[in-house]
Amino acid sequence: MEKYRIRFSKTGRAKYISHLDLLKIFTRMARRTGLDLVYSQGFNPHAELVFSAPLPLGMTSEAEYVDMQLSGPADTDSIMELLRGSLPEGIVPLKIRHLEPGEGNVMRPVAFCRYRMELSFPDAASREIFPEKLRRCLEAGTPIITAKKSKSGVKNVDIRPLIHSFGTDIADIPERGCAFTAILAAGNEANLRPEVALKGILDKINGIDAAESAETRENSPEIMQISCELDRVHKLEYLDGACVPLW
Amino acid sequence: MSELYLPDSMLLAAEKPGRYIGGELNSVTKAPGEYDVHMAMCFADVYDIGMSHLGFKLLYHLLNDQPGVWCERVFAPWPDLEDMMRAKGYKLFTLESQTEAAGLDMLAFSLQYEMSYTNVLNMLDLAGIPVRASERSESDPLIFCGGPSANNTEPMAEFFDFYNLGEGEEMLPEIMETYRACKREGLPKVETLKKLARIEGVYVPSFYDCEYDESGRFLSLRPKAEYADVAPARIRKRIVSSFENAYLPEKMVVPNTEVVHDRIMLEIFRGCTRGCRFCQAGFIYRPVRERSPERLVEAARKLIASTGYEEISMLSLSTSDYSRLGELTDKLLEITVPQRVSIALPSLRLDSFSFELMEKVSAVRKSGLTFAPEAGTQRLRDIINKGVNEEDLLRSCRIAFEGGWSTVKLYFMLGLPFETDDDLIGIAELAHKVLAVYDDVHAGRKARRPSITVSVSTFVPKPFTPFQWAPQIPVPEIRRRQDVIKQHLSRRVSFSWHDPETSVLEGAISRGDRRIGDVIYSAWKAGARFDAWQEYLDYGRWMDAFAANGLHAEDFNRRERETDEALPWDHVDVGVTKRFLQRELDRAKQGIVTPNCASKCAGCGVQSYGRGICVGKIQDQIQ
Repeated sequence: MEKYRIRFSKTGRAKYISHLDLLKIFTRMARRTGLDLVYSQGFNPHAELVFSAPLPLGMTSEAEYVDMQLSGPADTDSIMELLRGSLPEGIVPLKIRHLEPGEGNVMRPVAFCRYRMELSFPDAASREIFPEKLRRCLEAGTPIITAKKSKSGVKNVDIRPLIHSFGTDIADIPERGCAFTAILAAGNEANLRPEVALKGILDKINGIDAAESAETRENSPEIMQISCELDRVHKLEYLDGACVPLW
Repeated sequence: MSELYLPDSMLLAAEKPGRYIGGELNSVTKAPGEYDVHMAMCFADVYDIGMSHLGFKLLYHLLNDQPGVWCERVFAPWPDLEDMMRAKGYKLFTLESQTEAAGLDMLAFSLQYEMSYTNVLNMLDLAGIPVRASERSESDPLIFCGGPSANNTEPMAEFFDFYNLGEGEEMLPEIMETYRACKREGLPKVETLKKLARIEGVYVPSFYDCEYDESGRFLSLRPKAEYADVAPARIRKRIVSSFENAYLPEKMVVPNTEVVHDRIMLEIFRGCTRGCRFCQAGFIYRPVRERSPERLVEAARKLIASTGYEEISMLSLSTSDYSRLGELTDKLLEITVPQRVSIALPSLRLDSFSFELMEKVSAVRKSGLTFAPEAGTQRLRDIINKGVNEEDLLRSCRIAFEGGWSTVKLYFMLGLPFETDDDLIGIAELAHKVLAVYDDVHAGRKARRPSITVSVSTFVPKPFTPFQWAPQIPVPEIRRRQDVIKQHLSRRVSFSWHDPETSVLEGAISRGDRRIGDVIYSAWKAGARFDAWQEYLDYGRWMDAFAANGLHAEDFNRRERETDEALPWDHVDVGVTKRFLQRELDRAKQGIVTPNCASKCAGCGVQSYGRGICVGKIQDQIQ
C-alpha cells in the first residue's frame, strides 16, 4: 500500500462544487483512469481518500490537498498524467509526492492560511480611506471583538490574535476596488474565516464594537462609515507555525 | 474556460448552485466554425431531475455527434434562483456556453410528464421568447419536442413549432440534416416547417385545424387545405431500424452535484411484452426489441471507462423479461466486480424473480426489494392484465427473507377501472401476508424489524391504452379510498400515497385536446410552475384557469368516452390500433387476461413495423 499526496486547485466553475461531491469526483476519476485505490473494509466500502479542510462554497483555491492510498507503488508522473484530463473543469492537479510511512494528516502542521481577497466599494471615499484606516486599526493592537454564535449562545471573541497580517499589500483593481492578501489562523487549533476577519475589522473601523452598547455607537456620529463588498476570496497557501509555506 | 452567466452573488444565494455551472466531465463544447446549427436539449424541470433521464442524456450526445451541430443543455432554474434572475433581468441560459437560450437556432424539449408543461411556458418566457408559436418571429428559435407525453400532441400544440413522434435516435439525424439545409438556404420558418413536415413522424400543429361540436366535444383534427400536400392526415411514430445497432453513447455527462439517478443506465430492451392495460409505456414503446449481452457489456465497459460511475442499472420496462438476463448478469459481473461497480436490477417481476440473480449482484451491495402487484385482488389484477399471483409473490418474499432481506416495498395503484373496496382491503391483506411470511421465516428467533412499505399511486387513464376511454375518480373519492387502505393496514406496515390533486390534473391534461393549451397558459399566467412538486402545485389556480376558458376539468378526466367517438390523439399512429385497444377494454370488463406477446400474438397492430418480437427477431442485429 502506498500513499500519495496531491495538491490541486479548485477555481472557476468548480468553486460551486461542494466538498461532499469532491469525494465522489475523485473516486470516479480513479475508476476511469484505472488508479487502484484502496477501499475501506466493512459493509459499505469507500475509497480511502483524505482531503484537506473543506473549502467553503464560492471560494477558489490553489491549496487543496488529497491523500490517496494506492494498492501498490506507481510513477508519480503517470499519476499526474492520468489526473489531468479526467477531472471536471476547474479542478486541476498541481503537484504530487509520495508519502513516507508515518507522515501525518496534511492539516496537522497548518497554523495559518494565506488568502487573496478582493473588495469593491460603493463610493470612492470609502475606497480612498480604507487602506489607511486598516493600517491604523491593526497597528493599534487593541482587541477586535466579533460576536460568535455557538451552542451556548452568542459569545464575544477577540479575533486580533488570529490575524497574522492583513492587507499589507493593497493593490488597486481599476473600476472595482482593491485586492490584498491576508494571513489568518487556520487548521485544527484555531481558524478564522476571511469574511469574519473583514467584518470584525470593518466594524472596528466604523466604530461599531460588538462589546459596547448601542449607545456608545450613537455617540460617535462623526466617524465616516466605510462600506464595502467582499467579492472574491482565493486561498493561496497554508503556512506552518513558523510561517513556512506548506508543500 | 467560459465565464458563468450569472453573478457569484446570485449563485451563492441559490440552493445547490452546482446545478447551474455546467463544465461536467463529458459535457460537450464546440468552437465557432465547428458547427452551423446551435441548439439545446431542454428539460422542463430542475437539473437534478433532467440529468436523471437516460433519453435526455442519450439524445444530447447523439445530437452532438451529428455533423455541424452543437447541442447544449438547458434546465428550469429552481424558483429561488428564477425569482432573483427575473428581478435583475437575467434570461434563461445554456449550461455549456453560459449564453442566453434565445440566441440559439432550436430548442428541443423532452416531455416526460404533463405536470411539467407550465415549466415549458415559463422557460420560454424566462428566455424572452413568446410562448405561443403563433406569436414568435423569424428571429426566435424553432421550438420542438418529443418524449412519451408528447404522444398526445394537442395540450401543448399552441406552444411548439413541431413534434418528433417516435424514437429520437431514428428521427433526429434526419430532422437536423433537413434543418441545416433550410438554414443554409435561409428559408423562412414556414418553409422550413413544410420541409420538416415531410419527414415521417414529424407533426406541425399549426398546419392542422380542430373541430368541435356545439356541446364542445372534440370532432376532428385535419390538415388545413393549404398544407394538405405536406401535412399527413395521420402521423406515424418512427422506430429505429435496428435496436441492436441503434445509437449507444460511449460517454455520458457525469454531474458534479447530486442528481436523482446518478449511475450508468443500460437500456437492455425497449417495449414490453406484457400489455398491462393501465400502462402507456407498455403500448407506445412496442414492439419489444432487445440488445444482445455482447453489445451491452461492451457499452458498459466503455461507459465505466468514460464516467467512472460506481453503479450500473439495467433499464427497461420489466427487467426479468430480458431473454438472456442470467447470461448478461454474469458477463457484466466479470467486468464490474474487479472495478467495484455494483449492478442494480430494477423492476424485477415477482413471477420470474430469480433469487440466484439477486444474490449474485448483491455480492457488491445489498439493497431493498420492490414488487409491483398493482392491485390487491386477483380479480382486479386480471382486469388490468397484470399477470401476477399472490402465491408467486409470497414465495418470492419467503426466499428473500430466508436470504436475509428485510426491506420490501409493494407498489399498488388506486382508482383503477372496476375497483371496489374489496380490492382496497385486498392491498392491506396482501401486505399482512407478506408480514406473516417474514414472521414465519424468523419464528422463534430474534430478528430485525422488517421494513414493509405499501406505496399507492393514483391511476391516471392515458391515451393509447385500453383505459383511454375510462373515467377517472374525483379527489374526494381518491381520499376516501386512501383512507380505506389506511384503516385496514397494520401499524407495522408503512403507507405512502400520492397527492390526489396532482393525479386528477394530470388526468385532465393528459387526455386533453387543443383547448387545454389555453388552460395551461392561464394557469401559468396566474403563477403556476413546478406543478410536479407538491409544494408548488396550487389546485385552485388550475380550476380557475379551466373556468376562465369556459372549460370543465371533469369533461376531460371524469367523463367516460364512447368507444366510437373521435379522440384528440387519433391523428397519431403509434402502431397499436384503436380496434385492439377497444378489444382489450372489452376483455378487461370480462376479467379476461391477454397473454404476453412472447407466448401468443394478440394482434395489437404493431406487427406492421415488421420488427422485433413481432417477426421473431427479438435481437434485430443487422449484419
